[in-house]
Amino acid sequence: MLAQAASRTSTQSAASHGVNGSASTRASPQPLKKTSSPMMQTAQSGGPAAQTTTTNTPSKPQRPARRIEVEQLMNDFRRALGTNWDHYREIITSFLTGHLTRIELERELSVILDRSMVRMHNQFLLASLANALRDPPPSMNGLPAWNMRSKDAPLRISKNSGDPVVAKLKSEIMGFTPRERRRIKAITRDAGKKGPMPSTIVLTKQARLVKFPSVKDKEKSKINITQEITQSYQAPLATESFELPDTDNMRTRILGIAYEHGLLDGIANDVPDVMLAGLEYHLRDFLQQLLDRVRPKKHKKMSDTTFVSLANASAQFITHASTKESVNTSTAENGVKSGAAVVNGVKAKRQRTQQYEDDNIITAEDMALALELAPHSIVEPSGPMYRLWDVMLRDEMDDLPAPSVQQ
Amino acid sequence: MSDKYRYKPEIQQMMFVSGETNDPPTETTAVIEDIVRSQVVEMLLQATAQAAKRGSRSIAVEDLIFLIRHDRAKVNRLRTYLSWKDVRKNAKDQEGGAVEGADLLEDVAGAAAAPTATGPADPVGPKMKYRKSKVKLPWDLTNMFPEPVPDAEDDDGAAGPDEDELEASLATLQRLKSADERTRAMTKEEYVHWSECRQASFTFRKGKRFREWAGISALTDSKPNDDIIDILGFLTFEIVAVLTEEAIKVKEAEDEMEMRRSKRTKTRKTERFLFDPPDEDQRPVLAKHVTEAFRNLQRSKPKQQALRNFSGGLVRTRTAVI
Repeated sequence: MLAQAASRTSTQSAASHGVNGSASTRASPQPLKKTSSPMMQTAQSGGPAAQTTTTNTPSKPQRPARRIEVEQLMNDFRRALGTNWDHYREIITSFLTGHLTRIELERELSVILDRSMVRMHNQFLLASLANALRDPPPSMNGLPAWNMRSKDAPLRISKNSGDPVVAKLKSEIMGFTPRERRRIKAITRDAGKKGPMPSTIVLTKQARLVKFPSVKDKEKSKINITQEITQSYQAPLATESFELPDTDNMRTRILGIAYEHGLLDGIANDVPDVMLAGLEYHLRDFLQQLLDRVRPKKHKKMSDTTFVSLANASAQFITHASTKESVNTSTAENGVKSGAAVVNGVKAKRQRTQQYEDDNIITAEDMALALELAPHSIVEPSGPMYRLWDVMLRDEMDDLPAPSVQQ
Repeated sequence: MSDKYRYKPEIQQMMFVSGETNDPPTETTAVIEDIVRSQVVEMLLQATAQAAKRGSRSIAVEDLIFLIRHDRAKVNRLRTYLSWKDVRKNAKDQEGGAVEGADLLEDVAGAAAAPTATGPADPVGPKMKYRKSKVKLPWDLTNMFPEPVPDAEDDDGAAGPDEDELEASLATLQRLKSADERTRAMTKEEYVHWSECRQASFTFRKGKRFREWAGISALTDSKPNDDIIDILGFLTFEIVAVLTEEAIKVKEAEDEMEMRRSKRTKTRKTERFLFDPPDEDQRPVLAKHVTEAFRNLQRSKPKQQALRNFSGGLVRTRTAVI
């Protein structure tokens, strides 16, 4: 079994090395015959403080062979090499990744290694190769000692501290690279919080969560605040009630949002009014842009009056709770955010338009066109707008590609 | 808001001059005062930025005029106003301060009737030894050349005013015409009242109060000089005038709408009787008209939004100076 393993490894090694057909390093042909012995030797002799497991069980071929303990080999080799260890490491790495050819490897190694070390080199390489063909090691760290430079990890004989657990822990921790150890030390309480750019899904979920503020002093009763927040979530939205919010509705919602975001002092009395004024301004602006884009220029002189008149017409369908404002300010009251409401308003408007002498109707198609042309008038397209675009009936002929011109 | 509204009488006078015959309610004047103040703040901020681009820390007259450069009519009116100021100042210096207002106006009117360049024309009497200086606009076409371009003089037969000038003067003439029509039927007392109201200004002799009201110290670190304050006074008058005119238009459109609706719903108003209270008084310009007028004036032109077609996103707009 051992011979078979040896021959398998050797053929593998020959195959991998044999590109240019030249003989492998001076060192390697020898172990072709002697692989068995060094392995047996290391298996049995090991080294000081050896914990090597026996390698191959020669009797039962079905059992998968256990890995060879390479670490001890390496440590011995390293000790023997002394300061040349780094150089050796680099050379081997370059060779294995293809940066050096075998001739160059031989040349380099002949400088470093003397006769005894050639043997250790062979053992080391072949043992690693044999391990590669077996199952991966249980510890996923691999062989960290390989990566360490001499000055990073001076070869120490591990002291026998009395406590086996501590010793084990220490050996495990020292098995990490210095960078790894530094990283572990640097983990503080909120180290992982500022991760890379969180995905929109995570952000959306976080935004949808209801945030309850933590109250420091007890005089602002926490119960009241949470109650306000839940109330604000229960207040009907404009899309549900099909009307613009009035002052109370606005106040409830603003208060809830303020509490959620940490403004525990509440809001002033004028805030809902200002917000409503801003909302009305925005809606009027949007309607004006809509009319500008849809209405032809020759009717421009009429556009101001008809702007007012159209708004009034749709006001009949949508009640406005505030009685202070006159009917004309209901310009803004068709629930613009809900395309359905506009469609309703527009449809009913059609019945009364015979009384208008001009064709100053805007239809849902006009609105869809204007929104498609300038979605920035409502900053971002949202649900109702997509629905509006989707329900538009299109002529089939428009969607077909233009017929190609035949020669 | 516990702002004390301090300029109510001035605003009322200005509105009277611009076409609003009824007494505006306090709400309306409050809104107008707020709008004017925010406009003043905006103007000062933009002018400061402009001055900073020039590398200077203090606002110059040109910085303010730069903000309204698109409105040629207003620019011309402003330049005229400034030149009158110069005239007054120089005349005062010449006469040692003992000049009667009426004489000065007559003389200056005489001078203005002559060609605009008063330098070469021999002035009438010693009072006219000054030049009516026009503010030079750095962005004007005549200033774009390394050589100084001589002013177009009328007696040379040089090119008359171009289209823009014509248009600009048209707007001014329009205003004069409407003022003329209004005052045509006035009695002497009414006309005196009218002329007093015409002189209403935010800043005339109230510079300190104006500075405090506008919060100038918070806006710029350099103290603006009196010229700037005068210009601001002029511009604020223009703002109130424009707002009032727009608000009246909005109100009329609404009233027309009301009438149309009432006509359609067949509720005929009963005939007017002799002792009915006058209708006009019940319908002064309201705050909502003013806000709607302001919104109309803040409308962005299509050319500014043309490149944003088909794409969404927030459009960042700046408050436009009226």
